[in-house]
Amino acid sequence: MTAINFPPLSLLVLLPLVAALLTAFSRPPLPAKMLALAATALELLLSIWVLFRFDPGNSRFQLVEHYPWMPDLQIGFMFGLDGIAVLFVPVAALLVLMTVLAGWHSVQTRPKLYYGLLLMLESMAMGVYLTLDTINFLLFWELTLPPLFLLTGLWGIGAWHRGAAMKLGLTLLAAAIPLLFAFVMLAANHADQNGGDLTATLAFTLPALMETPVPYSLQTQVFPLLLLGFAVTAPLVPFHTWLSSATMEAPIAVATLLLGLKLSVFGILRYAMQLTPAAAVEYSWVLGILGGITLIYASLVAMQQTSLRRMLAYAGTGHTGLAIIGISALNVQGLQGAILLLLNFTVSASCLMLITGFIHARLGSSEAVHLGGLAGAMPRLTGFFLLFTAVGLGMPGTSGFPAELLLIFGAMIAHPSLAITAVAGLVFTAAYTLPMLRRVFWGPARHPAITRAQDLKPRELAVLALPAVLALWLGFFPGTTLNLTKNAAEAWLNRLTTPAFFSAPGHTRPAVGQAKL
Amino acid sequence: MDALVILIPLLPLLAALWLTGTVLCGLPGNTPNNTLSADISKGALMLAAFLAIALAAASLLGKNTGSFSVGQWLGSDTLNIRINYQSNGLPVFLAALFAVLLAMAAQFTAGCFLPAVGKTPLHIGLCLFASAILQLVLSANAIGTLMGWQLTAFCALGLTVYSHRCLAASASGLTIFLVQRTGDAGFLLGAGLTYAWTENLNWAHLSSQLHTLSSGQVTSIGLCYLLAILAQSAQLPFSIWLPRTIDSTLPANAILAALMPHTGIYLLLLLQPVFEEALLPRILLGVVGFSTAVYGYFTGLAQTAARNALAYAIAAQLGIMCLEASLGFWQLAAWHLCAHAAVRFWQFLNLPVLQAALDETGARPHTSRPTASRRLFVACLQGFWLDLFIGWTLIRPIRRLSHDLAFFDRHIVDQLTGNPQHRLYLNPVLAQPAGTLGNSGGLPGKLTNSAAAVLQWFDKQLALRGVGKSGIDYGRKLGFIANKIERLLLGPRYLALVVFITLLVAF
Repeated sequence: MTAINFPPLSLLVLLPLVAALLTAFSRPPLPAKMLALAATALELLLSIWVLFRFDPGNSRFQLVEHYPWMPDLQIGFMFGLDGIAVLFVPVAALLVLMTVLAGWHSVQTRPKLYYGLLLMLESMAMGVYLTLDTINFLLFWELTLPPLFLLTGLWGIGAWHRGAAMKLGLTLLAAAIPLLFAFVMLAANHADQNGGDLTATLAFTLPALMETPVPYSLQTQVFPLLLLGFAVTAPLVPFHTWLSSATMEAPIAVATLLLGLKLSVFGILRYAMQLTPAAAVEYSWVLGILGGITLIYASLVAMQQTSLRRMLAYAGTGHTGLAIIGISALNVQGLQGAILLLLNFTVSASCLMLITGFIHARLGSSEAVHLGGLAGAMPRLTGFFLLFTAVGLGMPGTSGFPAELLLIFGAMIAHPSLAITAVAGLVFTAAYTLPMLRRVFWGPARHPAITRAQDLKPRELAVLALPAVLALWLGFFPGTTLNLTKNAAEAWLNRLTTPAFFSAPGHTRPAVGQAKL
Repeated sequence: MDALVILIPLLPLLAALWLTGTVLCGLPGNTPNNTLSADISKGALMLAAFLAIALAAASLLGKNTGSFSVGQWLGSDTLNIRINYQSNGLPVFLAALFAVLLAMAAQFTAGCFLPAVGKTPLHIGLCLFASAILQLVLSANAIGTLMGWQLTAFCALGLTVYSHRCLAASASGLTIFLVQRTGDAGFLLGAGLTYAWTENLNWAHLSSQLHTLSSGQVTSIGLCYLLAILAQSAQLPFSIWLPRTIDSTLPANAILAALMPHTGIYLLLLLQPVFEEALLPRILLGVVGFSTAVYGYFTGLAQTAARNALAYAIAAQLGIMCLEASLGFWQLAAWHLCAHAAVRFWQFLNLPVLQAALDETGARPHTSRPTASRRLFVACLQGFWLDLFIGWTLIRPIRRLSHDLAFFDRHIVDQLTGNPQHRLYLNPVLAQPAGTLGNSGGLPGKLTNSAAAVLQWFDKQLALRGVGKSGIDYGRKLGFIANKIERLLLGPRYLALVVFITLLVAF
């Protein structure tokens, strides 16, 4: 681990939080949205600075900060960054900045509270990505709930937004229970292994837990708990319906963040797989099957959707399944493909959701039956939608192509049946995306309001231009991101193959990422 | 001279990116009367054609080394994908042919009358398609070819729906893309198997490593690529996409119908060593090729529109090329491919002239062969019910499955996990009375309600009715149980668990 004096990571967490508090005192000429814009822009710049400070050659945690909180219980605020998390941070910062800009004129009531909650959500999401303490992880995880609940319940645009907020809140709360049990069991195991006073030998930090051998029997209890907690919120089938409800009812900013912030898949990568490596290897087939079912199920259900927003929600679920397939392959290609896919989908799905929001703001609906023929009236909006659809479909020249390629090759090395499932999912993705594109954008304009609809405004154009450039850049030069994740991915895989973590007598370590053809 | 090869697909790509930027950012060049986009498109494609011809000439003179590597594109563990190009042989000559034909298409587009949405989107599609097909032909590894392969399909979609107000054209575009996507699946799987078994994706490496693979492995690779070849070259049962290209405007249909399916045959020629080793894919190729030739011939004879007849004729000829390759006449298939692409492209570009001539002389009568048998004639008119067959065997089952799953999702899963609309009244205001934040629903909601009811009963019996004799008995029993639980909780794990649950609840 490397330590530095300047605390950039805690600043990444605190900056939006302080800005959230300041919004309560904001007055014209510095209204809350200006403050939010400044804070999110500063956050993005800081995250980019952190990205440049990150040393890709070092596979260990970097820029580590540690502040004691409850020393008697060994709980503290510990932040750090590795190659797996390093790209999620700037992408999340970009995402929040985009949502602030995209909804510049859309928040008419209680703007101070709205932007305050949005900034709090950003702070907590950063905490989830940056913390190296399991209790802090749960803390940040749980504290994403109040902003999500209130933003959906108070500013929702659907008729059932309060119900959706309740469902979202209860689901995410319930998901935290198995995670809490799992983390406490791991901390207690650390105490058992060190054999001292319980409170003195408990450990909740990720580095300490990763260095503690976990008996295989305990791993088989902890891994399902972690998987259950993260599967509910990822979401994987059959826990996915909260996402479609929330996406339909929540304001566009929240729907965009729900689709874009892949906190749970990150949790699977960082906690479920790393803390219980033997069980993760043993039950990788469960992960693969869950991912495959989620991908195919969500893709097939997406074909029946009549609303752009709901279709995007199912697309998000399907892509989560695809990423899980990559992770279950347990090889570097699969893992790097999954990370790239998550980043790619964060950009593409978020932009598609924002464009859907622009359409909704102009025409009052995102139902295909109310739209049709938008391409004639809004060529630039259509062009961007087509571009981000191409990114989602994994077309060459976009960031989706290397992501899907790596993922499929990784799956092919591990389990050819998974690769076939992934490829079938890609065909289905085209089968639900393009007919929706046809219904919404092509053909003659169905309603007079459509012919009068305004094309993208300069602000909206600016929101979409940067992710578009990013998606094309990563498509042409995927090495820029793969180099950042390379060492971390190898270390991640190496941990799964380390015999020290297979301490049960007579237990034979399963094969990792081997071709079984 | 080898380095020239990189510019051949790059120039049209840069032109396409530039023109896309003008459209998305509203820069000059997007007005229907502006010739800037036409000039950029023409310039890029003509320069690419010139370079391709120069490269072909250098190849003939023996000035090229045979390959050129730009550098690594992607690296992950043992996967190392470089941007490699071939600078000798069939790829170079075919690239020169395609580049010249595409430059002609650009010239044609600049001169033709295209109202509605302006020419810039068409020029973008044309340049992107040119870049993709030249990348496909010149690439020395499977991933480079796959990039061109997938991008041509995406461009086909864009070029077909170019006139976006025509719903029929957009439906055709979807069909074309989805069929190509099925072929992409085969290509991806073939490339994946190649990597898994040889750890290298260069075409030359695959040919040299075939002897290390078992016959089953070669057959598997061959079958996967066969799927891609059949889909791209419009062989049965994937022939349905080729006639649909005529829904696009000229010269897009010339490009799509006359150039794109030939890339499938080109892939077949690239994979000659694989198909020579794998008997089953080769036999299948021959059978399908022969069947497509017969199908294309008879169906084409029943067409009255010149464009339709031409599309089926192309399918038939492509079937013959597959048959030639299957029988081992690889050289013949290569010559057939080049000559056929050029002739068909010329025919498509001349269709307006042909149509005018037909208008003067009247439509061609049906030939006697299909009309001799009424049933055969009906079958030919219906395209041997291929569309229906695909619909019944593939599309309809998937749609029904999708419908069933959507029903299951909405009525079972959503209800079990709690539907925000489960208090469904006609008036949404009634469903969400002011001051409430929704209602609990689904299985978790019902369980919570039941637990609340039990606790309510408990509270009512013990707390509200006072402490009687039964209350004391209940209290003793509860105390006994509580002692038991306490002993359990004294275990270190559970103690820690309770402590931290309490702490977290306090947060």
